Amino acid sequence: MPREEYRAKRRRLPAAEPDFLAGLPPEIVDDIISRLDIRDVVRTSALSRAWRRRWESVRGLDLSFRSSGPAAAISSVLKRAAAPVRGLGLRVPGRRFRRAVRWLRLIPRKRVQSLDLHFEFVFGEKPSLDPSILSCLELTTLVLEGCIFPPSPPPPSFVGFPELTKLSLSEIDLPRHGGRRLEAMIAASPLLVELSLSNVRSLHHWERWFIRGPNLRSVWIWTDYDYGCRIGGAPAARARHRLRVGHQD
Amino acid sequence: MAAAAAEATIDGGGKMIILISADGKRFEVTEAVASQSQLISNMIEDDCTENGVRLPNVDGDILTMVVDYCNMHAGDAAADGDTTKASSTEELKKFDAELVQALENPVLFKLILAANFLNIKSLLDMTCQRVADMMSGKTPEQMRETFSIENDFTPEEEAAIRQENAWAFDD
Repeated sequence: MPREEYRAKRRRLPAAEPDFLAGLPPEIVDDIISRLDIRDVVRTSALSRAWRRRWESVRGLDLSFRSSGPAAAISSVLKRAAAPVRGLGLRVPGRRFRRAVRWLRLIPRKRVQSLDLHFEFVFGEKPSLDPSILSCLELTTLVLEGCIFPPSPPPPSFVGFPELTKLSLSEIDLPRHGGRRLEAMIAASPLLVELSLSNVRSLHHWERWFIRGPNLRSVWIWTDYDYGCRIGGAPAARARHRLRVGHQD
Repeated sequence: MAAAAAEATIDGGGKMIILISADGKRFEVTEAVASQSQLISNMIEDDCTENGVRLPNVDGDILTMVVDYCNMHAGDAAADGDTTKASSTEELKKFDAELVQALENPVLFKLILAANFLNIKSLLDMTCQRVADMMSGKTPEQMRETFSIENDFTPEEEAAIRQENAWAFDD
């Protein structure tokens, strides 16, 4: 069927109202799209030709994948989304670790502001994040679970996260000198207010390291063994076996 | 004269200004109420509200809603401690929810344009959120239906797009 004939047939029936969204300025449509769940965002590509790639230019999208969506889908959305991305959140099952670690290298280019990565537990195998994560200088929130962090070696330019306000690490293996590196990272993130460490372990060698931050207001540590972490060097705040150390002002 | 005007302003934003809609309806509001619109607030600062503020792209019925909204919200913007005038948070939430829920599309979209033009951030936020809520969890067919979007894909093209992003389409 020729396209014109086909289009005429599908055109809306009498009393069709104007296309409401088409009547809004593009920045308002962007604002509306940025409020949607990523599934709804991607679904807009099936609305019409004008909407086909509409969402790909929207800044500040929240790419939170509720369940472990297909890896190809996640990486394709991440590749297509415009920077800055407001949030990226996902759970990575073990069989996808290698692939995920590879496409997570895109994150700095996407200027992600809030990153929440959960690598599901696989016995004896934690993925090591690519050092490029330390180039995400626009991060305000960083939540990591089930990986090796901080990555080594850090890029020479890295001093800290200038915008970071919340850092939450759980089930994390520290690499060699990782404690010291974490100490430096925390101390050099001037806006960091909230820190939570749950089972952050240095398995291969014991080192003492300290949590100090110019603006730290809430520090929460849960550990199954003393891996050498101390708060601000104060002996009173020692992390003990199965001891929850809370420190709030 | 200037001193008297300044005094009136300090006294809870008592000075009145006139807003004139596209169809010539006039609304008398206090400066405190009107200055929730960043556009008007700037005009007040620049002293160009003396002869009324003409709003050539806002209809009277829409401006009525905007003025109602600003009257309701004058309290939280000013926060001048006048508890008799300021509406309680609960009341405001109820008012906002009812205002935005009840709107038919043509009015809702005109209200968005007015909030954008007048630069009233909270009203723009609320109305944009309403549209987002109307889209969320909907199939493309439902979204098209809701907002009168014409589908100009061939069935093959549409099928291909759905296939490409199958994860977003199957529930």
